[in-house]
Amino acid sequence: MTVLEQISNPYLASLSLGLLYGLTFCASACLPYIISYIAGIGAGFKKGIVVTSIYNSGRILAYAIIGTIVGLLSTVISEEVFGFYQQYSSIAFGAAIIVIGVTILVRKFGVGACKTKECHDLGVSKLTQRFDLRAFSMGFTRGLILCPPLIALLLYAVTFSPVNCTILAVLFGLGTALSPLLLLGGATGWLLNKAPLFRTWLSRIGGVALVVMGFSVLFNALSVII
Amino acid sequence: MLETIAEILLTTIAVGLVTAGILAILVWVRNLTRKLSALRLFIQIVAVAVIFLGLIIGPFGVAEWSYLGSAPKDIAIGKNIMGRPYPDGLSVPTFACYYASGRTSTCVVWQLQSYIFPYWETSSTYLTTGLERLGIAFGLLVVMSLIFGRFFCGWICPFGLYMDLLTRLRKTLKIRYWSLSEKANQALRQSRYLIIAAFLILSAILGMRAIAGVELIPEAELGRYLEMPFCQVCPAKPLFVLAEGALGYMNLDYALSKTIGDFALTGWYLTSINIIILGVVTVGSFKVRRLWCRICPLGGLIALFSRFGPFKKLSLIKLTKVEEKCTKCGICKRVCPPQVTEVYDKKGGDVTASDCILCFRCVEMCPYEDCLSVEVAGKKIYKSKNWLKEEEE
Repeated sequence: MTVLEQISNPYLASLSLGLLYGLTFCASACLPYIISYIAGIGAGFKKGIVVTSIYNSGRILAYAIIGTIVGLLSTVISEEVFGFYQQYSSIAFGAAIIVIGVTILVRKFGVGACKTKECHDLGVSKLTQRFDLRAFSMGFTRGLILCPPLIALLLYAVTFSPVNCTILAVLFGLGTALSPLLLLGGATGWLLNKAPLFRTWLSRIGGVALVVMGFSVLFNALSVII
Repeated sequence: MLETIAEILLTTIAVGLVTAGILAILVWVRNLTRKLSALRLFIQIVAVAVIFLGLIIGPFGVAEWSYLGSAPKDIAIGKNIMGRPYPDGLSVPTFACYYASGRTSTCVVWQLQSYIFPYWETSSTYLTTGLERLGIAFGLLVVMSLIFGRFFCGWICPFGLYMDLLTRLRKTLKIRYWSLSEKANQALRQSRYLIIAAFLILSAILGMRAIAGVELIPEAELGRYLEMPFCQVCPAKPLFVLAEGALGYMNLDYALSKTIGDFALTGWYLTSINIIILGVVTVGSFKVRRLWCRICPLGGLIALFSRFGPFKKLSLIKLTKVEEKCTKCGICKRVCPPQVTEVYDKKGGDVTASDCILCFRCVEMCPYEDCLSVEVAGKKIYKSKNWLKEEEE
């Protein structure tokens, strides 16, 4: 926690920590999932960036919720509690990406699929088409899995009020969001779109990769619990 | 065993170069229609010499790496870029690995992969951080691509020369080439972008292998090799290593000692995969002209930047066509090594395509006066001639 120790302002320290890990570890940790998803839906440069941003917003919301809960339950928070919680959050993430992978493969339950007239009249179709719920839920469930720097931050933040704890967690999330992941997501989408002949196959590979990674996460988590 | 291979390779290269030189002179003198091809061959050979013998920038100057071999330029001229050591040489968009004697320029693909991790650090070799070096390499790649486009592929790239020499050998052996179907050709070209995307992602993931105490690849040596994922499969790498070894500029024992894993799967210089790919490309090139250039990710990168909408006009070299003079005879399509069809299909004006390696074979072989021409900075420097008439005379 050198960053936290070196910078006296906790907000700035939290943002810097997020930036530091966002530029390095977070990009490699999130990249396989987001890239598989981008390949799965056939997103281009712009959509690749939008999808990555939505994924990141899901993560930030998850951090905010965790920050609030940690702030509220500060008296019972410890590393053991985090360890116990991690197993279950991994199950949620694994299950989520399996479902997302399957939806890509079956191409049936695409988000934004608004069939009824009422649905259209309410503008739900437009909203869901613009806001990719699958990317959001992937980011949200990924954000529920606490990475080592976030655990360290949260253990440090328990000394603050619940509001401050939430702010610190959100600032950390914002820091990680400003990572090369955003650019890599867009660049990959752009490159994959340059190969339209392979689009169907890329979509299938993206979907299968998500399902495989989902099962891997799920089995790892279950093996620890059982 | 390796020394024997090296000896054979050395002899082959020497004989090949001498034969190419003689052929070039003969063609130059006897066949007026192929002047440009001869000139291109000559420039390609000179480029290889400059790139690998390193006559411009040097010295490599790192004492602890002297076991790699000695470079002529280490003895000859000793200058750094703007007074700062930049031991990898200029980033040039060609396949030219960075070996001991090859520091005039370096393959930009290697640089982009290598500098990513750890991008914040300097070292005894580099006084600049990885990020600064990435900036230089990427900046040079973009600028050169915008200005010269794939001219590098057709005129400078040493692996392109290797492809062309194989084509000449094929012609000598009277082996007929295959013309790929448009769809197959398109699939090959588009696969370049998938290769770039794959290695971009792999470089990012593998390059960050030991951040935050989490090691993705526990073995330090293996991890270091895998930081350059494309080099593990690049066919140019073993070709240049073996050639330099054969010429005595590279210590082959050292190169081999840097290969690890079952079936020599991973390595700094030679891996079983890159040698197999070199073999496949070599054999394939006897049937498909400029085979590697059709899937080359570096060519793909240059194409992406050079034909990128807003910057299209910056391109210095252009291929133009006068529609009224074209009879759609299809010669341009047939003689094109990477089977680019835009010159034939497009109506007129600027017909430069992103897949075109700017070898100007189409201009050289077009039998209609002024129909096709090469423009450099808006000025016509070369145009098609009625060579049928010249031959009759």
